[in-house]
Amino acid sequence: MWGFVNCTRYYMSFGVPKVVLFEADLAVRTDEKVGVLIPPGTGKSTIIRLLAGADHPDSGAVVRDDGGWPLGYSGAFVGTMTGEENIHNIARLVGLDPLEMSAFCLEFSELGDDYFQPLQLYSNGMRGRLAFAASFAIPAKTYLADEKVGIGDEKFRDKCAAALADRLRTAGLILVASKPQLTRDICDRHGALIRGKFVMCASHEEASELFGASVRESAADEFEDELASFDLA
Amino acid sequence: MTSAPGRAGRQAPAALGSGVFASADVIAALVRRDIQSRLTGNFLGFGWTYVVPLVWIAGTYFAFYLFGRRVPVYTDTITFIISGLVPYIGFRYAVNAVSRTNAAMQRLLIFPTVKLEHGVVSSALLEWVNVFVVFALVAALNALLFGNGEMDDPLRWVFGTTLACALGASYAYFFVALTEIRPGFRQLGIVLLRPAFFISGIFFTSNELPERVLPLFLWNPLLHAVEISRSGMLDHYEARAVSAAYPLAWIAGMIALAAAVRLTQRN
Repeated sequence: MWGFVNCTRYYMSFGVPKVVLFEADLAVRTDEKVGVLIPPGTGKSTIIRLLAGADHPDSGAVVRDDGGWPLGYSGAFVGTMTGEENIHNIARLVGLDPLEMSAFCLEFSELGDDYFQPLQLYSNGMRGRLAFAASFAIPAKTYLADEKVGIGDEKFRDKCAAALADRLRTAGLILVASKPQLTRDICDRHGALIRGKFVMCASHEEASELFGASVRESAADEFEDELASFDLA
Repeated sequence: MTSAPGRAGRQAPAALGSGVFASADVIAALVRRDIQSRLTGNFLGFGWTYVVPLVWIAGTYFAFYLFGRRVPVYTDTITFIISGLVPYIGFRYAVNAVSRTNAAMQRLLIFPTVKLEHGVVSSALLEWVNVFVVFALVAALNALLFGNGEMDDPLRWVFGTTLACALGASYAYFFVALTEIRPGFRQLGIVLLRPAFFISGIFFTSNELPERVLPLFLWNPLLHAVEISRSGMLDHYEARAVSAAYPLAWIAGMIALAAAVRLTQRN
């Protein structure tokens, strides 16, 4: 089971508290495919970091199952090490056979000889390919995705989509996205983050409508705040 | 479709032994990762690790010369300084490395198999090995340049130096645990250490302290570790009034406190 119990998380931005979650609750089964629509810049990455255990809530609790894995996560890579060394190291950290994982990643990432070069020489796209290869090499029970379910050109995106579809036959997915079309086909259950709380909906259409209304509302609020700031000036 | 690789064989049994093996694998991977990133990364920064002790030795030698301080033991000045500075360096490097664990491990805690404690142990282990490399370097230079060098009881010296490293690691682990609650504790841990350089027997021995102040200085566990290490290194020195049990109790206490803080926070 994954989720949040009465969870609050905020951070300070220019001295003003920016609330990501406010006494939020969410419950997701390990094998469920859930899409949550979140406006850009309002905490998608924070939510994934909280679920992955890399961040802690200010209050409340995060429910984490073992075997969760952030899709396309490149945060564990060391720039001065080669792609091969990075994968070997990650394999040892997660208890996989380094040679087996490395062979999989070399083939999946299609990096060729660049796989044996230091990561600091990689472009963002190459780094992303390696990160996705590593994600699919690790037998996760639930994938945690922050907007991206694929990377690179169309061919590689299709490859990622096929690999993800294959893994999702047995694994779950929590996908946070700001584009409703991303969650439409891939998820079974849909919701949106509205004013720091998760609202789960009966269908993708309902979640999209709720999300759209929320985005329009917050844009109007921002406009009013901006006008108010002019008044003060 | 390429199939994902399976788990390594040793992961399967759920017995305590496999947990220990899994932890050892994670620690070994973290050590390897640290060495690889240091060696292939900022080589100047890595080399600085070994230059700093030489600068400290030169500075301390200059301070001895400036204040007309005479070595209280039958040995030369440089060897005396090395006997106190090396265990202190072990302590200080362990503090610095373990203190960085929160930041260094943040991106790795995403792996369900990796815990903060793995980072603490791997950092401490690496610095423990590092201090012996530092000693080999300064002892070799001392022998080559001045023809001096002593090692009376290697096992005792290793024990004392290890105690100093473990004190540093346990102290930093306690503050790492506190930092999880409030980031400001990290700075507090560093500030509290400021006097350690002057009160831990680098410039003096416990034997030469007046009876009035000796009990006060003996509250400092690092003084015990430094004096045990010094007694092991110098041929003509045997520290009175120091005990290995005292720093060991501190180490155990710090680890227990840190574990209690971590447990409370987890709950």
